[in-house]
Amino acid sequence: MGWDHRNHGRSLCNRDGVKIATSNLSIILVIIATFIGAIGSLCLKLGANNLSFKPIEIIKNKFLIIGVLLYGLSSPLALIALKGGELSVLYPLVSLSYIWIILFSMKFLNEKMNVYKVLGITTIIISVVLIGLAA
Amino acid sequence: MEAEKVMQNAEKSKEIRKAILMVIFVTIFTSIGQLLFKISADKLALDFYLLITNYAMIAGFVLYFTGAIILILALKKGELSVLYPIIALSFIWVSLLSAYFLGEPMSIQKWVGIIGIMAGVSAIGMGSK
Repeated sequence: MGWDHRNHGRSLCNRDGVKIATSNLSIILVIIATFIGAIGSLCLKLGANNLSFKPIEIIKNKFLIIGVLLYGLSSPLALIALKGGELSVLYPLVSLSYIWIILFSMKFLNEKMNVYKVLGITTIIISVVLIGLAA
Repeated sequence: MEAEKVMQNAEKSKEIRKAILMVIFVTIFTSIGQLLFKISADKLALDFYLLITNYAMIAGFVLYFTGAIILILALKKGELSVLYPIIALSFIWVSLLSAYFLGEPMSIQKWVGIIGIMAGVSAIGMGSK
């Protein structure tokens, strides 16, 4: 692996050796992007439940169409937003989406929570924050 | 009938396992797609010919598109609260791919985070049965 020593000794919150202040715009963009992504995933799930393989039915599947649009919108939006700031701040915000999904799936999809799911998602959120701090 | 119920539950578990595997593939596709977009970013231009021959970018789009379709098929089989957290695996792939192809440094914190994500996703997988 090519180890990059250019940032040796510098705070790991730097981006390319230059300290970047995370702009408020980036923070807002990331929050919006992850929220849209979560709603888009919810719509994808609702649309997938009634999935039919006939093109006419697919076009009439409102949730599926909305879900695809939101999902397609959230990815580039998130990528652009992440470029504009320190990952140590932005990754934790991205991990917010997992909390949204838990709330949405409990409320709108009647999915039951259990110890495994809660423990698992908590571990994931902590790990994502850790990776963000390390980047 | 009891026997029928047991068979139905076994079928359900198989479907959920298939769905989990499908989403894992989706995360790999989208992570490689992200890498391709990063690589192709400098060749980005509003010139029609340049766009058509930007193979990295086109490949990235194909991967994303394929991933979306597989994701939808997987969501038909499984719960959102189980399948969505699996997307966290992309943090792992992106870290490893960036370290290998783009020379971004790895650190103990990243490795601990990677192990944590794997543990978390496994736990959620167990919570689906």
